[in-house]
Amino acid sequence: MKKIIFGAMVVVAFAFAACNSKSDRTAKQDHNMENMESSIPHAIGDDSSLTEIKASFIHVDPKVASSIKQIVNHYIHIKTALSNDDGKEAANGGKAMAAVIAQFGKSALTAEQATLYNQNEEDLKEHAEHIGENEGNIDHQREHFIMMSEDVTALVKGFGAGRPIYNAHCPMAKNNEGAMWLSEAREIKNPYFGSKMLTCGVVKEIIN
Amino acid sequence: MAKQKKTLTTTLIVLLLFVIAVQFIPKAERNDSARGAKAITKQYDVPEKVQSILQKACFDCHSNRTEYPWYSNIQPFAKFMEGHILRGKDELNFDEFGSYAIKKQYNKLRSLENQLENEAMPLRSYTLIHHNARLSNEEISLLTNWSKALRNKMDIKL
Ligand code: HEC
Repeated sequence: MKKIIFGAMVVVAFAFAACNSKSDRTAKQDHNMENMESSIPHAIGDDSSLTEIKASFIHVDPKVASSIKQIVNHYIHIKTALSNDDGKEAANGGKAMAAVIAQFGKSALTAEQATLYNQNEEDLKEHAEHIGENEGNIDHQREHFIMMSEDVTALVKGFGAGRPIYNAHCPMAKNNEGAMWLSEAREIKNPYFGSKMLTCGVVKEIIN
Repeated sequence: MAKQKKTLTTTLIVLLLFVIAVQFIPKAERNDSARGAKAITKQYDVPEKVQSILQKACFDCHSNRTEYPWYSNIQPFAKFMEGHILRGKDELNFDEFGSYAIKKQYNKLRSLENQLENEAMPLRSYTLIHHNARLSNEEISLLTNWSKALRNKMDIKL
């Protein structure tokens, strides 16, 4: 009798233990970036190397413009949180961005604008959701932030953001493949390394 | 003594009823969607070696070809496995890969490379039971190299 009860309990306990997938996904990442400060290319205030880009769509519906602005605001929120090594704040930004995308009024888009938006919508939403769901795994948030940055760049280059946006690049991000991000400020605060290497990066473009 | 035996019997009956009751939790539909023209193998070149690794290590959670083990018919296992499989399919379904927007296809491959390089996939709770789904370093680099080459051929403006 005791054996049967014990057996039943083992079965139940196993069932509950078997499926905790979140903790399975331990990001085994080791950047080894300490002591590398000296070799980093620092941002320099050299205007000659800065390309100026104008948003390509001239007439944007005010509602659309406002939604894009919100997406960019949440993006900046995530960027700032990641540069502060704050996965929880980044997750809040991700959730907020996903909510804006879910309610985006696509009917006001022109055909050309819809093409651009549709190319990025599904992908961007997934990155927002991943960042929103992984507050305990900042490495994973940063992986998705690389791709999110590319989507948001495409949108900003099309629709504009209602304010100047800087496009920065750090050659050491993504295991030395290099990766870009957008910022509302000229100053470099690297979202991929945070305090490990906050100043890695150079501003390449300003998008107006 | 007799009283103790009675409590034990009651406990056992309650437990038994519970186990029977959970069997009535409905199970989600399985392998329902079509696996035709949108499959990655129909849209892109997937060498046989790559395909066999994907099949043994990933398809159970990322395709419409899940092979369900016998205990997947018993609750509560069915419920827990459904969770993984539905979430896995929602993230990435190799049999519906072709229906993703091109940018999403491209970025799913990048995520695939990340997941493999971090050894985050296949899920550890899965390789615990499916030993042959544990990938060697050669198998991992075979997959990531295939994925990178495929991405390079994709026509995408970033
Ligand atoms: C036991 C089921 C299971 C197996 C086997 C499995 N996966 Fe997954 N996979 C999941 C689940 C669940 C998620 C969603 C994880 C999450 O969102 O936390 C996922 C997510 C992913 C993602 C998206 C991650 C991201 O960051 O966007 C990729 C890519 C992936 N898996 C690739 C693979 C590959 C490649 C294999 C085989 C080598 C594999 N998986 C095997 C369950 C599985």
